[in-house]
Amino acid sequence: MEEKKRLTPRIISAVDLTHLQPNERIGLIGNENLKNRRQFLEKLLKAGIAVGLPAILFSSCEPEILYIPTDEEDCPTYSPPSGNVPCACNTDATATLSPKVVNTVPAGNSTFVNNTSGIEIRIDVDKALDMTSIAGSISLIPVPAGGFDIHFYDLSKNNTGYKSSLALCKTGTSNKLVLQDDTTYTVTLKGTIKDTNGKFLDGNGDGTSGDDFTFSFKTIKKYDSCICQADCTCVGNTCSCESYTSCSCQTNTCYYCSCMYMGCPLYRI
Amino acid sequence: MKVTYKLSADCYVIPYEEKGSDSFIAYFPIQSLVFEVNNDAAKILESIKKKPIKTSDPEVTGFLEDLVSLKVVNSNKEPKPYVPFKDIPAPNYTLLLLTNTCQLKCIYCYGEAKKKGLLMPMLYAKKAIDTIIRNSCKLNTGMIHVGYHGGGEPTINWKVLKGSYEYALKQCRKNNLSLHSSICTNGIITREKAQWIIENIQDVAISMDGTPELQNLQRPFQNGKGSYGKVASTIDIFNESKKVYNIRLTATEFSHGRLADTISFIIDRFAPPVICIEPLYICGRCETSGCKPPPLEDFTKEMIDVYELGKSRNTSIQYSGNRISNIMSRFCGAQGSNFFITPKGYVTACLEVSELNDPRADFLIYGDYDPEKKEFIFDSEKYKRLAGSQVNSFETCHDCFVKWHCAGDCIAKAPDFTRVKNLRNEYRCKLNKALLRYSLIDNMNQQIGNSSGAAREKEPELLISQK
Repeated sequence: MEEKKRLTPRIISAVDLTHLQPNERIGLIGNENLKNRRQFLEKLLKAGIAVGLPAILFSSCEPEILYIPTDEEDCPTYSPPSGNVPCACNTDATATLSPKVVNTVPAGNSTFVNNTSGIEIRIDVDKALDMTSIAGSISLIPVPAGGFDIHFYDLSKNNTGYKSSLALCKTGTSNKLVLQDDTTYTVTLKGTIKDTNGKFLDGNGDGTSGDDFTFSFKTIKKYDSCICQADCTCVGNTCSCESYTSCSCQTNTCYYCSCMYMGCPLYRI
Repeated sequence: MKVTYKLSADCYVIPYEEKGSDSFIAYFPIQSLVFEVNNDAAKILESIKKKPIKTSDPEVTGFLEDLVSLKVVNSNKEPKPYVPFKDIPAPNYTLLLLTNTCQLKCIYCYGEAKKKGLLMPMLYAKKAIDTIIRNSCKLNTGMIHVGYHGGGEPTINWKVLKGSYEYALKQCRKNNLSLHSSICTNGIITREKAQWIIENIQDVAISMDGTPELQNLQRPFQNGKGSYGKVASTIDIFNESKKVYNIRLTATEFSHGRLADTISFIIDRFAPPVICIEPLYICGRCETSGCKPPPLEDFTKEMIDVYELGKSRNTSIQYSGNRISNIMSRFCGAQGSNFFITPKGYVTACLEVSELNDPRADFLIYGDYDPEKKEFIFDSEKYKRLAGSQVNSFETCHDCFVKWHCAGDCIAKAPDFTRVKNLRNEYRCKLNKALLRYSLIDNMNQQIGNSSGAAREKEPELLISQK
């Protein structure tokens, strides 16, 4: 009987998936293990074995990777890896990238009814900002009466999708700014704003740092819109909204006087 | 001299039929490592999983020493994902289930939402926000998250939605916290409401099922008329404002065989950055409509086609059970984090369970608003049972390569709540395994293609051992 030939046990290819949610995974694996792994996988690669290394391990700096603690550290059975020392050359995978604005409130080019209680103006940035670079680097034109304060929120420890948030508030308070009707406002963040790695703002998102970020929005006159829909709580076929009868814009084409509930006198779709 | 080798990391060996009968995938999920290995290496791994290996065979030793250098053999015990919990929750996230009323009568609605129903009073919304603000200040989290969802359509309770958001914003400013907000809507909203959402709510999900034919069939108005036109016009408003949103689609027997066409239609018509697809789970109105999920085998193939389509069209396709990016012990916050408030003021861990007459209520509704104490109170035992239902304790998932990704899947879809640790939803379980396997291979191929295309041309001769 022919005996099946025994083969050398071997790895045919190796792939490192640390780049998928790197913070979470590095937190579990630890820096020391990643260093060993990098050396090992690079040996495989040199020997001609197919290896998939994530970009995070291809840093040109030393292979020490910033260790990011996770919730798992609270686990009684969790033993943190050694080497929990931030790298002197800072190999944070995003360290070389410039900060970018990822969200604004109001959205750029939006138009909306002014609100006597004020309007929230907020700018969210994808990296932790150097607070000292913010002073004098944000403008709002036209300047509201009494000026404005800038409130800075450091969210770098929260998984929010952005790491810093800046809010423009009424001077001396954390209240929303009260703005004028029928006015186009422009907010500008100067390209001199930098993150905690010293990288300047990439305002236009072209990959080059140091340019301004600008967005505008317009407040419209209150009488341009009917308030009836805003307060309408009609449900089913019964519309409890009565203010439409006193609305000055009662025409079939007025969007604000339409109601989405079938049976309501103002129902249109 | 014989050396003993002991496995110190989670390891799963999966046949890699696409490469031939001698090929296997060795997956170390917590280490984020995946290998293609030959049959003999696979046998060694299967053996070392059962018990330590004592050997002096140089070939076996060579292979095992490589694993030693990777710290998956003869190393410290690997840390496992686990979310610790206390006796009562301390959430900084609330989801307000504002109403069980809806303009639509979707044939699969889990809440069986009706034309007329309950609206959450402002009191519950404000008290929930007060609770999470208090926790955030105490735990120094720096932020709170307020979300709006059904049962029914949250924008129907507009006064409470808008009022509670403004209240949350005010409280955040007062306490120097950041506010994160989200909403899931059916898209039957006015331009003014859409505009307000665009300007105020960060994460927006719009439920819609794709083509006019499917949307009108599966998600009609209460009077039976089609809803596609209205939803499409709302999505157009979001697109005009360049608002980022995602579309959430339910796959049923009616979309069977045309999922790729449906997704193509959505991408062509709306170009959303993300499309979330979920197969129908039979509950709620399915009992009366008789609506069924698509056949499993066909749906699995259709999902793989749709993933490929998404890649070619630069659109992220997501399904909750296939999360290769995540390593976790809980499928969602239902296992210990969710603080969802129903219109009646109950605290539920799952947005699909908001009424006490739901058979899952005893497991998932774990608190209530106490008008005397003027705050939410929790059933500590129920909370601990939920928080303790992590995949680490699921017997069914013990030796499954998907366990740290799907984390045992949605507990609200478990077939028997008295045995939630022992029984999984078979349909989703099989789907999760097939799709995670696809994603694993896809990632391997992509990454090898990206970083060592040249090396792949060369046939490896022997394994380099770090000795």
